[in-house]
Amino acid sequence: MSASVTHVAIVGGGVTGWSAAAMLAGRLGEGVKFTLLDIPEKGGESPRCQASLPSIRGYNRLAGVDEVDLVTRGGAAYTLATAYRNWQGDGGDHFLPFAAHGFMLERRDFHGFAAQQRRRGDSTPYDHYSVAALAARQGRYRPPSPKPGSLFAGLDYGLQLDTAIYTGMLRARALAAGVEVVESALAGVERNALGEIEELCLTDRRAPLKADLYLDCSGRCARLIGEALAEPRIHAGDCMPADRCVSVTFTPDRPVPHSTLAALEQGWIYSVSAPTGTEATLYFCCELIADERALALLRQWSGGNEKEDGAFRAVSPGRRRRSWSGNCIALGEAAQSLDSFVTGPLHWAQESVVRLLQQFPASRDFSRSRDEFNRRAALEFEHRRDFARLHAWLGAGIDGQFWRRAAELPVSDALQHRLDLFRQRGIMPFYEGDPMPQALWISLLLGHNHWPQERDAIVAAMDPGWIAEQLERMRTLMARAVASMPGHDEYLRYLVQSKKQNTGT
Amino acid sequence: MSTTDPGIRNIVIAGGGTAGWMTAAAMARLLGTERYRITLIESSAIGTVGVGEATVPHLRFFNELLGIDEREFMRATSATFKLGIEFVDWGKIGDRYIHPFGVYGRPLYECGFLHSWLRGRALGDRSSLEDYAIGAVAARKGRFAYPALEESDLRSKYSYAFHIDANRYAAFLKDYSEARGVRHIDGRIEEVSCDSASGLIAALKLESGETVAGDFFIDCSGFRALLAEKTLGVEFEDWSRWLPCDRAVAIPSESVGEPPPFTRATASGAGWRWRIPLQHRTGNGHVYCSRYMDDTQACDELLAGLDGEPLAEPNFLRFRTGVRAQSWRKNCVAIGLSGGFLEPLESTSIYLIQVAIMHLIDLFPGERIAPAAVDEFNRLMRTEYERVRDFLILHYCASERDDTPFWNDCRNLSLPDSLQRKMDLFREQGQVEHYQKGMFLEPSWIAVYIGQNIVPQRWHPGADTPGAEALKRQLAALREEVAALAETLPAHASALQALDAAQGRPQAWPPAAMSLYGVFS
Ligand SMILES: Cc1cc2nc3c(=O)[nH]c(=O)nc-3n(C[C@H](O)[C@H](O)[C@H](O)COP(=O)(O)OP(=O)(O)OC[C@H]3O[C@@H](n4cnc5c(N)ncnc54)[C@H](O)[C@@H]3O)c2cc1C
Ligand SMILES: Cc1cc2nc3c(=O)[nH]c(=O)nc-3n(C[C@H](O)[C@H](O)[C@H](O)COP(=O)(O)OP(=O)(O)OC[C@H]3O[C@@H](n4cnc5c(N)ncnc54)[C@H](O)[C@@H]3O)c2cc1C
Repeated sequence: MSASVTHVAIVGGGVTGWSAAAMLAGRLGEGVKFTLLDIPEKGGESPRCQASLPSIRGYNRLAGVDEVDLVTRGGAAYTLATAYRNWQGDGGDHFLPFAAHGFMLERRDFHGFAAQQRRRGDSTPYDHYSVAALAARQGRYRPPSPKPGSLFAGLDYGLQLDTAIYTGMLRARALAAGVEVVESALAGVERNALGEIEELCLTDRRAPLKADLYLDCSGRCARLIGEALAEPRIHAGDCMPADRCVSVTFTPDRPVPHSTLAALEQGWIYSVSAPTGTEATLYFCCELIADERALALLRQWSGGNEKEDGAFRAVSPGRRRRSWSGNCIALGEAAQSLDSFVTGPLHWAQESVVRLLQQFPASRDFSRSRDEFNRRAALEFEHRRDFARLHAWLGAGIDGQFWRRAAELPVSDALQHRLDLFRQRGIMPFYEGDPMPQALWISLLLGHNHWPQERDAIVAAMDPGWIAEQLERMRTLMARAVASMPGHDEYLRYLVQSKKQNTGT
Repeated sequence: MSTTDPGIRNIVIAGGGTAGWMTAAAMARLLGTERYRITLIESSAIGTVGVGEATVPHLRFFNELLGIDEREFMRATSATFKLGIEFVDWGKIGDRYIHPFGVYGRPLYECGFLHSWLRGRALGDRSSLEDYAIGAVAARKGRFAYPALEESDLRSKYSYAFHIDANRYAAFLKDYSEARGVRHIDGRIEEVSCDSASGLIAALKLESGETVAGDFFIDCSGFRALLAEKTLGVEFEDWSRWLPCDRAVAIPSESVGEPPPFTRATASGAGWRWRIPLQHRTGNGHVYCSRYMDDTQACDELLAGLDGEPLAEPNFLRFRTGVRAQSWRKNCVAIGLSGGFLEPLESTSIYLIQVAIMHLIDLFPGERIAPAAVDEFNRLMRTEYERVRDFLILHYCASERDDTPFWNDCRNLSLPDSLQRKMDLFREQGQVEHYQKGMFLEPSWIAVYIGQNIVPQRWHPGADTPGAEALKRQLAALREEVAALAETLPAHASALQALDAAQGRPQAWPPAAMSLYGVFS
């Protein structure tokens, strides 16, 4: 039997590095030691604010980050949906919640009934059948109800994080779990005869760092997997025509319980609001508009009260062919990069940490686990890329060169099949390894009024009067329920207040 | 297409075996006979295969979808309860294990329970993994009760299915379908006519001279595959290089003693024998590979292994394992034996019929047949078949038996990549390849791997947390808890008697799920 894995070195102290450190050290017990290498003054390139999917709540629970604590420190606001603005070029909007709309009737998914009503001439927007979407639109929030029958039971929420505050909390958890920090830069990497990492050479004449497993969390520079191991990068630039972006942060009137994806003629804006501020990023194509123009457009959109100057960044979607190569596992931006739609890059970094935790190798004989890790990572990326590509497809009706280019990008077979089956029959195919919830694909299409052409045979066989009645009732109940919810900012204030009372300060 | 086009309204089902009547019943219930005209043609002269008596828990979901009273169904089919399958002589001669409809233990640490068990084993704990699966323990003790609905109760960690009389089940569904307006024709189909321009099937011509026209056809004609193969020429993909058994001989026998709540599959020199206990008799059969065993020997071995007196003449069957390259082509879908057959080792056929029906109804064409819907159906069914195939092959290749040429060849099978990968991964550190959709998920793979002596060298480091003695104590406590809980269940025979007493009373059985493992999984 080969040697045990007892020591793991993590390179990079950004949100990815600390996410991995807190989770793995916290959950794996004392048998494995973790050392994290970071240049503190350098700092990473993470966005200031990131929106997550609801699964981050489970991550925080496992990693020991208390959610209420995080929120009351200003590290997170809630998010119930993503607001899509102008994706059909008509100035319209709709809110995309995380969970499915409506309720199942007679064991059939709700969307078939909505489609049937639509066909009969009812033009209710699809997001009127979601408590979360309605609440997000009105700026309201409350936690989900634990009661199964409650209208609030399905109120699935994610978080809009202030990356720095959140990273600080992860760091504290990691340190409490015994992670050792070495503050030094990586000077070089020694490789052994197999081409794997033998040890890490550090600056400041420190002794080299030797471990059984190396986690590359160094961000887009990919110090280990890219620079040292030269693992090829597979480009995925053909899912959107953007190759550059610019970000500004500003203080909005109050934090809204949703992120926003707004399409402009020249590209699109993704904005996330943490309690400490909102960050908005415009994605564009540098052949089509100059940096100054992009920044001006972004400022115009954000209302001009931004705190900082715009920060420009190149956009280059892609992934490492293998994110686990030899004894090195790349996580986060070092492994893959894709623009944010609905969720930020942190979510995907954390998903891969969870996968690593689930199959953490006991010994250095891990070639099969490695293959499985890579197989799933590759699969997941394909579907995420398709999800991004779907946005290019949705925007194809907008005027301007950017969207004309978007319309000409290639469509994968899987995405084509999704579009065909959904538009013809209102069914979203299931793909193994697709990390996007099924409901998101469906809601995204229906929200943009891509209603299926054909009726669902079973729904068509049901009494139309009964269906109309059920849907009417759902809408009324939901509207009433939402009206009873507090405002998002009100709820955040209430949390801070009650925390102060509890701690007696 | 104009809006006045009536679209697809006239559905014809060719065949009245289990597949035909399950399809008719589900369509009558879910599509309705006001909107659709549903006709089923079968030939009582030809008859059905008449086997197929062991089921899986998903069938309960099918019954629930159809609004069938589970007790009434059990009475009509002389059913007994089934908690799993006992495999005898598979890994080695003398080995036995149960593949239960349920999960093992409950997670003790950061990893699945299997890993704690593996470490316990390395520390000298000799308990069997089965001791932690309440479904398996209850089966061994001959006990049965409906699973608990409280998630914290270990008695919620199993599910159940039935042993049924296949002919009575078809008859039961026939009554159900006819009561809901399905038209039934007894007659031999002689000719199938197609539209020359579109190549779509247009009508079936019967021996009597009658012609039955339709818009949409379901081929449930069994191994003959009258429409899919004979008419449309859809190729059959042969999988016998991986699943080489190609013959079966079946015979019912008298029940002896109380019916055990599980199916038994005993490996033989060139195949395996089944024993399926019903209320009024026991079903038996021997599945074998004709390259290694002749009919006489197979029949002799079957007769020698019977618990009770035979009740009929042996019934010989021939088959080929594999799958129809596309189950749906043009306006015809092959469901049942016409769509593929993977041999009955894990009672998968009726399940595959059921999922085909459910997918077909989901995708059923409204005005016209959407090519994307056809692709989707074929893609889904293909995945189902391939996953079941890999799981079945595992039983044959994960064996140390070297007592016959058959087993020597099985041990050295060249496996599909998708299976080789799964086995290598498990051997390395007890990890089961992850997938969400499919009949057999992690607990089943673990059952067969461990039951057939594929024991990983290592376990997840999360299981290293407690001290050695603490872990052994926890394992012992869990084992005792499972054993004590299993003791609280009534004997299977009294559970069956209680059913009769409860006829007509309100529902007592738990809600069904499309899962092998219970209400919560
Ligand atoms: C506005 C904005 C929007 C973005 N949007 C997206 C998006 O949509 N999709 C996407 O994929 N990405 C996006 N990014 C990129 C983002 O940088 C990453 O996806 C991710 O958040 C990076 O986190 P990280 O922890 O992996 O890397 P970083 O935050 O970059 O952290 C890397 C860490 O490694 C340390 N380090 C680096 N080199 C060394 C060395 N030699 N020795 C020691 N330590 C070292 C650094 O000090 C740093 O602490 C965006 C970035 C910005 C600014
Ligand atoms: C040995 C063996 C054991 C099995 N054990 C199990 C098990 O334990 N569990 C399980 O789930 N499955 C099992 N199966 C599979 C199961 O028996 C079948 O899946 C199930 O019976 C469905 O069969 P069918 O309806 O497709 O075909 P059949 O039962 O063969 O029905 C075919 C129908 O088509 C009709 N027909 C054929 N030709 C014509 C014609 N020219 N004109 C008119 N009608 C025609 C016949 O009359 C008949 O009604 C087993 C199969 C075998 C071979």
